[in-house]
Amino acid sequence: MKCKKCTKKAVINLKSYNLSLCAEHFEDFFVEKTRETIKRYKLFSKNDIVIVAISGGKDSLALWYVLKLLGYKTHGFHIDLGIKFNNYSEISKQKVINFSEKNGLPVSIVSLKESFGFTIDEYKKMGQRTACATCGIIKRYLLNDFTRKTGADCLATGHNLDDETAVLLGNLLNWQMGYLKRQHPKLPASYGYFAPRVKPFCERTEKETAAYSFLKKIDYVQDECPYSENASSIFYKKIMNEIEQRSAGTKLRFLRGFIDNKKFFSEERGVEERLDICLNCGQPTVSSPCAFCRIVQRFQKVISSERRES
Amino acid sequence: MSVARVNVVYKGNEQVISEVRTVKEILEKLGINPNSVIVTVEDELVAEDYVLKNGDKVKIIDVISGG
Ligand code: SF4
Ligand SMILES: [Zn+2]
Ligand SMILES: [Zn+2]
Repeated sequence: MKCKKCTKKAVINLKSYNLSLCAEHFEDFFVEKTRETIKRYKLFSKNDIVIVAISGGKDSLALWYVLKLLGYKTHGFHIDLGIKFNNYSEISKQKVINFSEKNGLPVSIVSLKESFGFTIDEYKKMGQRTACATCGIIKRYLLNDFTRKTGADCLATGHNLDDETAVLLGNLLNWQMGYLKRQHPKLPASYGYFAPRVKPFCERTEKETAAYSFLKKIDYVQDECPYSENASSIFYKKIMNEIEQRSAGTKLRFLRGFIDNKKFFSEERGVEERLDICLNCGQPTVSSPCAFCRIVQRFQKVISSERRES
Repeated sequence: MSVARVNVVYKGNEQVISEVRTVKEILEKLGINPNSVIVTVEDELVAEDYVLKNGDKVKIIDVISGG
């Protein structure tokens, strides 16, 4: 198969666009489509400062790279979770630092251990919750905290079309109205506290982000986190890919259709649920202390009782 | 198009696959959905209709992540 734009050999066949492209034209396509998504959902502008959540995986690094190419002002933020298995956190951190240096992009790194005295490994050992539930709360909290405190305009994550449609399918199957209300490429600021969250890759497939990272020789963490246990998300991705294989373009239609019909899942506009304030950190929360402060306190309690016993 | 015998690396395992003409046929033989992987031959990204030669080194890279 030849590239549709030139005579070179195609390296990817994008069935949902009925398009086969060579390396060079695929790279152009990928960047241009990201630009279109940013415009379509009015995610941010050239004047905004965008914090990019960087895990060290392909999606976040590719996103950072493309936003730079498109001329946006970005600042990376990475959380060192302290996961020792397979040297996961250390390798991730190193890849983030190398990437930032190679591309002249600024990054801030927060170590859970240094800032809060514990790692995900240590928390996991306490066996209170699954690692991912705790980790998710911590990441959301710290990402928002950083975005707020730096006065940046929004927080961008590397969620791709496969992530978004898998979540959407799961939320619909279980009629998770609360989650459905909040699923959107752009979550506006809320409670005068939570920074806007945006997903510029929400219309790019996981295959596209992997192909782009490969072609751009982006050195990303290939290993999965050892605690990765979200089997249902992978299961839903597989199902969506089966459907996509039969009917190309389904994933994109599914997501766009949902967004176009979002009103059916939203409460009256502008009405925010009433929330308390965390007495410890000031974050709006259903009940004080907030989930993040509870995690930190629980850990400190265990540490101090261990000290007393020894 | 004649059939080829190629080396395939997938999920850390190496195997020889014969009687295949294209990358698409390898994926079909292994029951892999093309949407869930990218494929390289001799370290170059290729589309599924890529025509294989005897001895080609094929790598199938999973793109689906959890979380
Ligand atoms: S897989 Fe779970 S524990 Fe690992 S980084 Fe993701 S959320 Fe955290
Ligand atoms: Zn071309
Ligand atoms: Zn709090």
